[in-house]
This record gives sequence, structure tokens and C-alpha cells, in this order.
Amino acid sequence: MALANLKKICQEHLAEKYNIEIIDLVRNPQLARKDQILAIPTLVRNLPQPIKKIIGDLSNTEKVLLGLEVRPRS
Amino acid sequence: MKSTKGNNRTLPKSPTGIQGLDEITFGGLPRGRTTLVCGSAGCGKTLLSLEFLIRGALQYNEPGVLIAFEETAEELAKNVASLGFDLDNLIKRKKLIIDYVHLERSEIQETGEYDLEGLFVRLGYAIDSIGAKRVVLDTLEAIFSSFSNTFILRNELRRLFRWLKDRRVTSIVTGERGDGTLTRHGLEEYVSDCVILVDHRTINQISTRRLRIIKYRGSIHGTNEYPFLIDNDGISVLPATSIGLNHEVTNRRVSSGIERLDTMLGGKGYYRGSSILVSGTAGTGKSTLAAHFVDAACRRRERCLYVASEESPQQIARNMRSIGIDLEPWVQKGLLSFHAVRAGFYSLEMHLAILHKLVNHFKPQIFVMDPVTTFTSEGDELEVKAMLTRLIDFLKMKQITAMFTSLTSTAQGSGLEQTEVGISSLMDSWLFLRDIEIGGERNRGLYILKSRGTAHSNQIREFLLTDQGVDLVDVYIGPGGVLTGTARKTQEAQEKAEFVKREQEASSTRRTLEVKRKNLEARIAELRAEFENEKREIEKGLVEDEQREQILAQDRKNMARFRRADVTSNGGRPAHENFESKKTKRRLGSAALRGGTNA
Repeated sequence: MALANLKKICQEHLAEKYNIEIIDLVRNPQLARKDQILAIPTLVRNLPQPIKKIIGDLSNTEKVLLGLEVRPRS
Repeated sequence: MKSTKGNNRTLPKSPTGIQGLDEITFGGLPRGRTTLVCGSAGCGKTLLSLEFLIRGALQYNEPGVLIAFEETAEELAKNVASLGFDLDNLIKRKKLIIDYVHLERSEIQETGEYDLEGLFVRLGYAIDSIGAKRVVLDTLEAIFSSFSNTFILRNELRRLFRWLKDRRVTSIVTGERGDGTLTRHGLEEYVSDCVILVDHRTINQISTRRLRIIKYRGSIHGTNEYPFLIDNDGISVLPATSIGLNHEVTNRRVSSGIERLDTMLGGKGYYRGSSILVSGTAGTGKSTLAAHFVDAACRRRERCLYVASEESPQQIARNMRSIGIDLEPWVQKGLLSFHAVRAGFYSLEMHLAILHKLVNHFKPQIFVMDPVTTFTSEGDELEVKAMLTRLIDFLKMKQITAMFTSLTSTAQGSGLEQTEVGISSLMDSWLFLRDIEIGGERNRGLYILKSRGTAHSNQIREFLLTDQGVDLVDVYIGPGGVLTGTARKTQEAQEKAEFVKREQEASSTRRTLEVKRKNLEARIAELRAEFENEKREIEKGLVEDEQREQILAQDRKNMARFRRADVTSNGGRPAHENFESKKTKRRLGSAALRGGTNA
């Protein structure tokens, strides 16, 4: 559900300017440590720096955009 | 209700390896379960849990995982390096994993539903990669400040503790102490097996760390507050109050170092493993008595620990040299160890903890604390008594003979003994040194107030400090009361003079008697001689009489023959004359008898 929400948001607001990598921690548990993941699901914005993390099912589009700093804080 | 010992046996435990903690938990933390360690900042929660992991890895071959929420692996390694633990080495040997969880609230945006599966994944991965048996989450409550949805967090916590149980790892979670509650976010709601509270208090400017087991389901445990130390060996909890009154006793004796005192104590000195209180006013020779004891022990090649709280070791050594006791060689030989410390330097618990460590390390047979009274100023009587009880119990358990000196106030009278009743009940023997003021001088007197289990003297002895050490002499007890010092010497001299006088009188009487006896004997000899003369005279007369008789008889015969008369059958002797001669003989015999009685 989070992924569906994310794709929808990206297509609407960041068309052609995004790259989503999906990591299954059950298969790659060592990456949880590397990327400092605690909550699931977590959306990590690696670029641009600094790293931003958005957790939850991304159902609140406004908050996701705020977190990704796509929409400037007003 | 606490469970019985039978249950205790069935509940598996993981030893922590931390000194004393395993004793008060009767074996360690519950195996495969979660223990909550809570306390305010700087109490030693992190160190306690880290030591649990390190000792688990080193001593019990149980690898561990530390999920650190507050400090990075590097910081932790640096922190414990001073305690002699090499975390990097343990990590390299795959005995330990430290996973630092970086939580930065500003980096995290919450949108909708989530869970903490990431934590589970990380933990699970870490456990699996080294086969960990122990897990520490320090400080788990940090997640509350990073995530705002407490409903989710509480659910996840509940899931976490169940998950840890399912993984069969022995775990510690630490929690910051809250206001009026054990932890700020109520972690104790989820951890039901074991809760340990650590505390760091400052009383009278002296800080003490304490630890208490609040809860330990399915096991008996010590319920008191136990002081603990953090020093270069890590944590050591002092379980002194868990020591009961069931220590071994022995009939072996140990000399006091003073022959005469041994005699007073039933001939053999103190019991080994007993506690001796030497109390007295200032300058009565308490330390000297202790030094004698120590000196004698070192001569027997026994180890002595001398805790000095008023004088430096050098000062004690110098002072004792003045009475002919040289303690220096024993120190050099390693038989005697001084531990000089001011009472106010630490709290009572801390002192106790340090003494514990010293005793465990040095393993003495003799323990001297000189004086114990300086500790009284550190706390009220109850606390001092509690500390001493624990110390004495501990020493007794180790069969160490302990001597405590105690300074009493200089006030005279019975009140001076009253003040010490508190601690004296803990002691097996109580020697009392006191000043005896007579005739403008002070002298030292020693007596035994009590000595459990020995036939001891009830006499006061005068206590003399000479160049060759202590000498005990009898005091003068007479109609004039107890006399010591010069008064005693005067009295002794007086008695000696009187004795000589009596001796002289007696010998003159004996001489008179002798003269009288000689006189008597002379008189007896005289009388005997007189009698002998008389006897000879009488016998001579008798013989003459007989001769005369014979002549007479002869004459009568001749006359008869001359007249041709008849001759009688008895030879012509008339019957009455015969009777007369017999009578004379008897008189002589009784005279001889009287002479014998007179002699």
C-alpha cells in the first residue's frame, strides 16, 4: 500500500525525476543496520542530501511531500 | 509470595559474572527472559548491561548483541576500555555485536501506519550472525522520543518482549527513571520477570551507588538495597546483607601476642574467626594491643590486613618501634598490608565495598581496624552498626579474626561503656582499657568485659608499656581498693617490709621455743640420772639383804645341826620371810616404770 501511495505521489509531483529502489529487509537484513531503519515501511530519500526518512504507509500525501521537501514549507 | 527453593532450582538462570549480583539473584538473571534495569542518568545502567554481555561472552561463552540507542560503538568501547574491557577484540572474535541505532527526530516524517519491524529485523539478523544468547537494548525508551505514535510503540514493545522470549535470549532492557514511576514510559508494564533498580544517591556529600532487585518472578532474591562499586574491575555489588548467621566456627585459638593476656583469656588467646573489640579512652594503648596481635600473627606467617583510619602506616610503624615492635619487615615480606583511609573519604557502604575487595584480594587471616570509631562520625549509630555487622559477618564467613579498636570518650564513669553497647553486641570478645587515676598519676588498666566461649579472668591487670612491648601485671587489690602505678609499688614495698618484720618475729619465737625445749631435755636427763642412782642404791641394798638372809639361814642350819634339830622341807626358811622379799621386788618394778614416764 505504501508503495502504491508512493508511486502515485511521485508520478503526480516528480514525474520522470525519481528512482525508487525497493529493499526487502527480510531478504537483506544487514541493510537495515546500514541505512538505520527501524520502522517499516520507511521511505528514504537518499538524494539530494541530507537523507530524509518518511515512515508509515504514506497515506497522507501532504506530509509525504513535506517530508521529501518537494513542496516548500509554507 | 516468594517462590520456594524447589522452584528456584527449576528456573534456569544466566549468570551475569558481575561480582555479587549473582549472589543476590541466587544465580543470575532469568534465562531466556527479559530483565529491566532502570535508574536515573549516570547510575551505571549501561555499564551493568554491557558487563553482562562482556562477561557472558568471556566467561560463559554466550555471545551478545547490544542495540545501543544512545551511544555509538566507538563511544562505548572507549568508555569501558578504562575498565580493562576490549570491546573491539570481542567484536572481531564475533562474540559481540554493537548495533547503534541512530534516531534523529528531525529526519523522520511520520505518515500513517507503520511498525518497528526494522528493529526486529536488525536484532534478528545480529542474533543469528553470531548465535547470540544475550541481548541488551540500551536505552529502549529512546524510541519514545523519536516516534510520536505511542499507540504503535506500545504495541510494538509488547511484541518485542514476546519476540525476545520466543527467541530464547536472555535480555536486558534499560529504562530511564521517571517521576514517581520506575521508567518514564512505563516499560515495567511489559517486563514481568525481573526488574532491577539502580540508584545514585548523595547523602552528607558522599555519593553511593545502590542496586535493588524490585521483582524477580519465580525466584528468591535479596530484597535490600545493595551498594555497588564501579572501579577498574567493573561493577561489584556488595551482597553483605545476604550473609547469614550460619558461618563455620572453630575451636582453634589465636594468640593475642601477649602471653599474660592469653592466660587471662583461658590460657590460649582469642578464638580464630572471632571478633574482638578493644575499647578505651585516648592513649590507653589500643593500637599497641593491636600491633602486638599483628606482630604475633606475622611471626606465625599469617597475613594481616591493617585498616588505619587515623594514622598513616609510617606513623604507626614508628610509634610501635618505640615499644619494641617493628612492623616494617612484615610489610616488606608481604605479610602485613596497611590500608590507610580517612573515614570521610567514602560512604560507609563504599568503605565496606572496598574492604570486601581488599579482603578478597589479600586473603588475610587477621583483620585489624584501628579505630572503628572514626566511622561512627560518618553515619548514625544504626548505619554504623549495620555496616559493622556486615563486615563482621563477612570476616567470620572467611574465618578471619578481626580486631576493632574503639575510642571512648574521656568522661569517667560507667557512661563511658554505655556508648559502645551498640557495637559491642556484635563482638565476641571485649577488652577494655581504661585510665585509673590514683595518687596524682594515671595508669593503664586492662580487663576483659566479655569473651564468648572462654573461661576468662575477671581481674583488672595493670597494663604497662615498656621498651619490649606490653606487660601485664597484677594490680594491688586490698582494703585500700585497687592500686596501680606508684601507689601499687608503694603498697608492695610496704607489704614487703611487713612481711620481713613478721618473718623476724617468727624466727625469734622459734628460737625461744628451742631454748625451752633444750632446758626441758636437760632436766629430764638430770632426773633420769637421779633415778638411776636411786635404783642402784636400792638394788645394792637388796643384794645385801639376800646375802644376809643366806648367812642367817646358814647360821640357823648350823645351829640346828649343832642342836641336832629336825630339818624342815623348805630348807629351814620360814614362810613369812619369803613373802617379804617378793614385796620388795614389786616396789622396785613400779619405780622403774615411773622413771620411764618422766623421761
